[in-house]
Amino acid sequence: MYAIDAGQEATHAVGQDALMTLLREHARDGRLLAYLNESTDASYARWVLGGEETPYADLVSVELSLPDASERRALQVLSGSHGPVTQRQLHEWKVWDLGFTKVGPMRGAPVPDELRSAAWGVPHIMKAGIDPDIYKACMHGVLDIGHPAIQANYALALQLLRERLIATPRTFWYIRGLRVDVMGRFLDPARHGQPGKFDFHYLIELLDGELSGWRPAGTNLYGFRQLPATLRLGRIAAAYQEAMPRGTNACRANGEHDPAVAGAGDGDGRPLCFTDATDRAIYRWYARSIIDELMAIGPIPAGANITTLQQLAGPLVSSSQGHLGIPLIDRMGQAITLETVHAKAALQLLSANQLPARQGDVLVRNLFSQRCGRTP
Amino acid sequence: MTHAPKGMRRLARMVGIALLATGWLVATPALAGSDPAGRVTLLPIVEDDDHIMQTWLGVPMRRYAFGMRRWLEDGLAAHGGRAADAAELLRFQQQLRRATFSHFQYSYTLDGTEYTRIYLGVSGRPFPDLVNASYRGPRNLVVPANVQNYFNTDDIVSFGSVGPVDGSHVTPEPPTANTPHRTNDAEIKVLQAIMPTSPAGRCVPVGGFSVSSARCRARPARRRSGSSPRKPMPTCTSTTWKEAPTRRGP
Repeated sequence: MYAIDAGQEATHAVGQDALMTLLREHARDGRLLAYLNESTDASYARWVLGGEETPYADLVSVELSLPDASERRALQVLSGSHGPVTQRQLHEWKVWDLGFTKVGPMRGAPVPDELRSAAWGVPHIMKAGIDPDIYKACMHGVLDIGHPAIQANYALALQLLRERLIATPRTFWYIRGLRVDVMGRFLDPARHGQPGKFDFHYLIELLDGELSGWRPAGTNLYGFRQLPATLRLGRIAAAYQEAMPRGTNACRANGEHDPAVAGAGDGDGRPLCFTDATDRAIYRWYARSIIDELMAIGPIPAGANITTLQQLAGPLVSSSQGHLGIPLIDRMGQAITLETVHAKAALQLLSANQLPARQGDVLVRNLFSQRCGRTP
Repeated sequence: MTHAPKGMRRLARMVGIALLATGWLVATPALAGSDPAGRVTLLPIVEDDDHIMQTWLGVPMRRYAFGMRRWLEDGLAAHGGRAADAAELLRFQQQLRRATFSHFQYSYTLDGTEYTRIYLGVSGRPFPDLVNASYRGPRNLVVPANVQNYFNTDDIVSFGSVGPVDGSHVTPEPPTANTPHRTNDAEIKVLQAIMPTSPAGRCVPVGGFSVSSARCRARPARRRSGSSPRKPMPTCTSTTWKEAPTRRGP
């Protein structure tokens, strides 16, 4: 029943991903719990940032302890798919995937022709890996709504749909529920007709699946390492926010944050300087924005005669936004913690038959003890 | 924002367990086998490397969990939203652990335009039936008097979760010694829900149904880890029903 080819394929995919490989190799040595207990989200952040986390904190150069047997094997496995991988490289991947980096490399890169006219938010678009046509389509037509967080959900959903369509043979599109017609209505409504309520539900359902899973990072179309879907969502929302009138004045001309006006994150409601903020900080800003935008729209009536904005907001009311289980409105930032990321990667490993069910259980308990303050 | 009431946290934990069950849907593509009548095609999906079946099955699961939370919040409101005793919520917890879910897309053409609706289903009994009758402790949970739109349904998304539908043409096979009782199965409920709501007679179905349905038989996990290949915990199938040869997409 479990084809051998499929198993090898799954192994190969796992072997491409830094976090999944680390988890699997530690689990193989019976050291999964020890590995997880090495750090919490907060202690890991303090370590890589060399102090308390702020939205603008830069990574410090950390000293890596000698790799243990599990980590050495993880390096071997990853070297099989990426060429020689050093311990430092593995560390840098992990830090990137967890959202501790900014947009420095994107600001230094040449702007692709199709993005020249976008003017705003270009480094964020490049880091989020959103195609220029999708970025623009989600500012116009039914999505000309001035709600950056809601627009970001649709832009990322369309991007993920396109990525799936490209990766899937055409004959499997129907079986897997991949609908190219939805894509057409957003990108070329003059030819395919305006997008409607089904399209909105469909895209947010697809997005929810992506946000709840963990995918090995590839390279995005701008040549950068692809971020996890949750962090892409924050970056694309930041791009739309910057394109808003009076989008942000929290940055200085050189792109660094202006301490006098830039938001300090968490309880501080002032706008962030996105070009100087980490992916994690931007995600936390996004998580508050999406709640604010949906609350401002208010309860969605069940009837058929509702505004386009209500139609766009409706599916998001039942979206779990990258949380495992129901999102707790006061803890939206948990969707990107080290514990949640580990749990998602572990569920993916379980699904690919690469982790014993009992080890997966250990991980999920770890997540819930963090989330609920005790073990179930 | 205020802190989530305790009951909510407890439920969030239970929902997490339910989601873990989704994570276990292990899956492997297989070729379609046609039904002799030529009307229904079943496609077992045994591998889900790209997470797509889990994506579709996650939709009814999430809606159901959100709905259950809202229902329990209303049910516990009379007691100030205080957490109920775990024993009082036992059957809700069991339901989340055991329920199967289905996700249907149904497309039809009306005046030359294609429309699609989404039908979600969950197995098991409606919420009021899950109140633990044998619970002897102090009671906190009261069936809410007003029925809200707990599943956030609209004219596109329906949720089939309530008991048997009267007058439906869709009936489960009668249970026999070898087959389980199917009246409350997720797929049956969805099919029953489609009949009264689709604009029959006014449309020509072209797309048909696309169903992801977890029929997971929980198998005892092999507890000892060893060199022998492990079997995954649940066995799941995904099915696609078609009314006619399908035309989908451009």
